[in-house]
Amino acid sequence: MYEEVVNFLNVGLVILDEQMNVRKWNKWMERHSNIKSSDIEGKNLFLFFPMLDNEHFNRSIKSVFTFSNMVFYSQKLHRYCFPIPPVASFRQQFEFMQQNCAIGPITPEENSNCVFISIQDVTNIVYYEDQLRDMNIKDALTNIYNRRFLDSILDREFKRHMRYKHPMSVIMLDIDHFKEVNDQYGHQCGDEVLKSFSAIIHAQLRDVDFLARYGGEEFCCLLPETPPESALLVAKRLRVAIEESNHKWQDIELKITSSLGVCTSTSKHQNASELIELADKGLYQAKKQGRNAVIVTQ
Amino acid sequence: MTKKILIIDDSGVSRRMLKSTIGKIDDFEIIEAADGKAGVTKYWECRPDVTFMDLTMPVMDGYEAIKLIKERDPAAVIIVGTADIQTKSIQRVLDLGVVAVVNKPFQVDQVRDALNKAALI
Amino acid sequence: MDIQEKDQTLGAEDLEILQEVMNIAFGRAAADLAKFINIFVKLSVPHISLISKSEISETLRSELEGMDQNVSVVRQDFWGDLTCSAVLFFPAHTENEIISIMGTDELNVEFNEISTSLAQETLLELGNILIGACAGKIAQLLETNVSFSPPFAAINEPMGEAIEQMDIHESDQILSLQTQFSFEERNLSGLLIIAGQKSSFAWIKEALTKFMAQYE
Repeated sequence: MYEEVVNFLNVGLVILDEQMNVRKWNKWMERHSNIKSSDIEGKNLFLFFPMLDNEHFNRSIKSVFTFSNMVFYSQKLHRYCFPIPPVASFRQQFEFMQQNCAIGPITPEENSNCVFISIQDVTNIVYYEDQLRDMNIKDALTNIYNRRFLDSILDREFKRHMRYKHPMSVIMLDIDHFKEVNDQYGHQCGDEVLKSFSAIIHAQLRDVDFLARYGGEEFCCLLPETPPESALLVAKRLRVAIEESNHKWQDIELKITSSLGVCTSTSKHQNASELIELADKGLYQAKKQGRNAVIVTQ
Repeated sequence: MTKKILIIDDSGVSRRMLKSTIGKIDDFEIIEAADGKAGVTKYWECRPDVTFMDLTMPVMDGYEAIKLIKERDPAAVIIVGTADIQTKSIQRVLDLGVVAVVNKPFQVDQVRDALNKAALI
Repeated sequence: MDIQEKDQTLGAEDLEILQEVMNIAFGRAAADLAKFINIFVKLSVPHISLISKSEISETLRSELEGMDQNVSVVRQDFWGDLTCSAVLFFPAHTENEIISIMGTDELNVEFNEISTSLAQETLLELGNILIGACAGKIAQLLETNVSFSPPFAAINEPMGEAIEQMDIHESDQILSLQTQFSFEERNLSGLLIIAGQKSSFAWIKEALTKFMAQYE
């Protein structure tokens, strides 16, 4: 009866002996690893999974054999233990099945000392968590980071800048006369403009930079390890790219410009909010001077 | 004449266990001490044929006590009883001139072998 | 009523025997950790008492006084005949030492920039092994098996919070087993506390009697 249970459990079950030979590979493992139990049972695990022959895994197994304790591989920290593909519906999003695993002792029979490894597929949970997290940190309309996320990382980034003494730059920018766009063409057109505007900025930034929607039509670029000359260059490029771009919605074509304020951290700045405030002042100054401009503040 | 065994261990339970184990092997006169310092004093007082020494004790630990005894009496016969059977620790006490090491919890066979080594039985 | 109550408490002699059992268990744990897992730790003679949760807080605060306001902790429960909550307290800001204890063959990290998750993962692994070793050996000596729940680790959290989170009911009389541990070669030491639930007392009494039976 136990044999049946082991094979119909919706959980992977592997039993190993002290030489790391596979004593049992249940049907779930067969199905998800594409390795037949008849092929792997009796053979060394590392022949099929050489990447498992690492210090952490070996130490975990050794610990269970020595102390009869349990070792847990949680998805949160390890992502997976056995590198096997996820089920078809998640193959686009994940290279490997996301797993929660546990290694534990088996009361020895006769001379055989064994451990079991249980493998749980949690890919769907991780997928939904990722989605939820995205919803939490991204702006729904433009799909860039939202203000909440930016606020949460500002301190961290500033601390890092302080620790390593690398300059950190901030560009605050907004769309000139955006209210008029909404009034003249309607909010749906305005939304499209916001989307394409974000996309243009995003395309100009590096992977390490952060772009967030700061307010209705105000955006913030956080540029780590960027000295003032580079920040100014980026801001200038952005201004030009936005000026030159065309925004389409239904049969409407329009052009917009933006105002930008740039500020780079120096030793006199105490925290990230100061930087943002100063960049904001620059933005305000750019507006006063006639818009479609870049102003640097210190 | 009954041979004398001195047990130096801060755990009353451990002394009780050793006494019982020794009792199953042969008849001995057993003297006890609850820390290294008292143990060394007792050693000079009663001059046992063999001493069982615990290593982790308050006031004075086993290593200190062994050194002190061996200094004045290089021929002292000492057996160490310990739960921490790391090779490092064992080598350390063997270097101090200890004649045997037995594991805790005490097993009759091991203690008998140790007493044999000490030429007591 | 009377007989039941008697069975529910551990007497002075029980505690004495338990202390020796723990002493032996920890000695073996340290030896096996060194031999099989390459972890070299010293576990002090354990201190055993029957106290309440608030008394535990007090004890911990004074034991951990050297440790500053924040601590890193690993919590894990194990259950069976013996049901306990174990907590390991490490001083805050010792991520470097913990990582070096676990070895770094997979890790290419600049020690200045250790990510929180790496520190947490390593702390979790070390904690799991230490608690597993100690609990495992106690269980072995008392001839029983225990199961472990997944461990939980927190880096640099306020001491008060860490103590609050221990899974102990205020009113219960708890069996508290405390040991100082130290990794001498790494200059890292901390405190291990195992809190035994009252429901296990009757079984513990029986197991200790059985343990001493061969020495009567």
